[in-house]
Amino acid sequence: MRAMWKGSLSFGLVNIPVRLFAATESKGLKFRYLHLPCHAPVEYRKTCPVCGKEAPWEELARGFEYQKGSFVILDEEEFKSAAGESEHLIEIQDFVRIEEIDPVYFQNSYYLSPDGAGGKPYALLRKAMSEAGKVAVANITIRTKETPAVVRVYQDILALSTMYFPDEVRNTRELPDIPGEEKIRERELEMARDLIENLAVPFDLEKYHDTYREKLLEIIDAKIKGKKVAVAPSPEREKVVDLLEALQASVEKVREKKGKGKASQAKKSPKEKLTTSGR
Amino acid sequence: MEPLAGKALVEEPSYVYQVKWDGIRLLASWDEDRLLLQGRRLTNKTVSYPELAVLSELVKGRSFLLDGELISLKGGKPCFFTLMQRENRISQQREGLSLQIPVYYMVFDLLLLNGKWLLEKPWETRQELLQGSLEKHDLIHVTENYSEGKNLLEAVAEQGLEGIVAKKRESPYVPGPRKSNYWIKHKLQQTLEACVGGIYLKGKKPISLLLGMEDENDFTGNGPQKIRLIGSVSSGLTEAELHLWVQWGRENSLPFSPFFNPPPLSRGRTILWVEPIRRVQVLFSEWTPDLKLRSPRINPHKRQNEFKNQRNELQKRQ
Repeated sequence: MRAMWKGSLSFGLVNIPVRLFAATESKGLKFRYLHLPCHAPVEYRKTCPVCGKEAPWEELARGFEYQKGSFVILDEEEFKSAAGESEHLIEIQDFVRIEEIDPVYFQNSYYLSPDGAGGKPYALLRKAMSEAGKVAVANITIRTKETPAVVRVYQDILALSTMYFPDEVRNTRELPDIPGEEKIRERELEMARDLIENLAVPFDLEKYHDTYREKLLEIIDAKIKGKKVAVAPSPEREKVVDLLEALQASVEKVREKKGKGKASQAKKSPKEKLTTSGR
Repeated sequence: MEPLAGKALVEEPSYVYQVKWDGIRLLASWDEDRLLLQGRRLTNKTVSYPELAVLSELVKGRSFLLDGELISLKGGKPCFFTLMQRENRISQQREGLSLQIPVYYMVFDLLLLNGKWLLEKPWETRQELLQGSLEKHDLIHVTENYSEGKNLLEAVAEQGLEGIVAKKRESPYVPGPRKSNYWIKHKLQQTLEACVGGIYLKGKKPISLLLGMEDENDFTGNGPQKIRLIGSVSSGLTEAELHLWVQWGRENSLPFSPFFNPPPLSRGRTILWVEPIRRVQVLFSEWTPDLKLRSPRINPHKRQNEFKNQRNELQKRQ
């Protein structure tokens, strides 16, 4: 595993140097778009719809569309001034019980490992947190972005999950067609309770499979074996003869430029001719 | 037999000059019914390039051993990077790849014909036999011979090729990996446009720029958004320029590596990952087999102009 972030975990007066590792990886299959007639993967280019030209990096700026078609352009200085001092810091603010945090807030999960001399304070925090049965709520700043996060003991390590800000989670009241307290008959409720009871098992995620992915892989394998493969040709089949011709033209040009050696000009071709008489 | 690196080009009638193709050295042998392709250290590459089986039909002879360079093209020029993409694929994908990344075999020597070794014969004789016994084909070409070295070198430079090799006409073929002064190579500086995907820092001090290239023939699922690390460069950059890079980098930083093969982090060093959207012109001597640039430096004549403005501003402020 490769660290994707380095910084420190601050807890009261203690600073624990840590590294952050992604805890999850997506196993989704990646597909590329091909242009069907050519079987070539399509390219994405940034072009300007007004002048039709390709837009190089130097000519790009970031604009905020405050109303349709109207932009405020921000320059790098302005972005910088908004970001303030960016630090590599996970700053623990509070300790809470994990049940208090609804899963809807969780974003991405990471593993923390101690860096340098962080081993001992890391172990201390891990022990104290697991004994207290509490998790830490912290602020994490990755470069210029700040998000809330929860730090907790997971197996024998500290794990961090980033969270959404409260205003990023939509209000459920905006949801249509939610029934209120309906009149429910006791027998119906009884049946539903029984069903739940019958399906209740210990949590085991292992038995869930990505059947969509498995099915897709099956189809892909069968197509490869059946040789139903789309092969993308090079945009233009590059031919070595074109290069050889261009080289020949260069050789002739150099010769002419130097106007040198009538002997060589006298030859039928600038290409060395091997004769049986040799030299 | 390997060429010796030459200093000054010898222009003498006793030498003949050939283009030095930038690819991998390949020996191709045919023995009655079996094709064998071998790389520099006699590694077997037969399964990698099935399209070269056509050789058996092109050579007039029941057995032969050819020496040459296998190349692949990109933008009309031989490209080692593209060739390595082909070479590093797993076998399952090869069939499609012979179409997608075609290779060309530039043959320059004939070492055995009809069971007879030709190693002791002078280059000229071997060459004559080679030209007489290999039929023309799209993928297979006999390397041309030129009698004027300097002119060829100039033409090669104009075409952006790797360099030339001078070969002594009278010379025998010395088998094995030894370097021989019968063959003398003259390499030109190569150039490339790479994108910058990170900046190596030691504390706060910038050390070098991490260079990357889009791996467009990448089928490994790394996705088109990731790039391949091809080396790091510091030479050709002034300290002030490096600092400007960092300044720019902080504003265009990424929380993750844009490379799918990021370098290991050594102690006391950090990497500022940046969006790989800016390009630099790099001079280098050659590709290493693991696709890194050998002795890269920033092309001093092709520095990005945007920094000039920034530099001027800085000078004004001081």
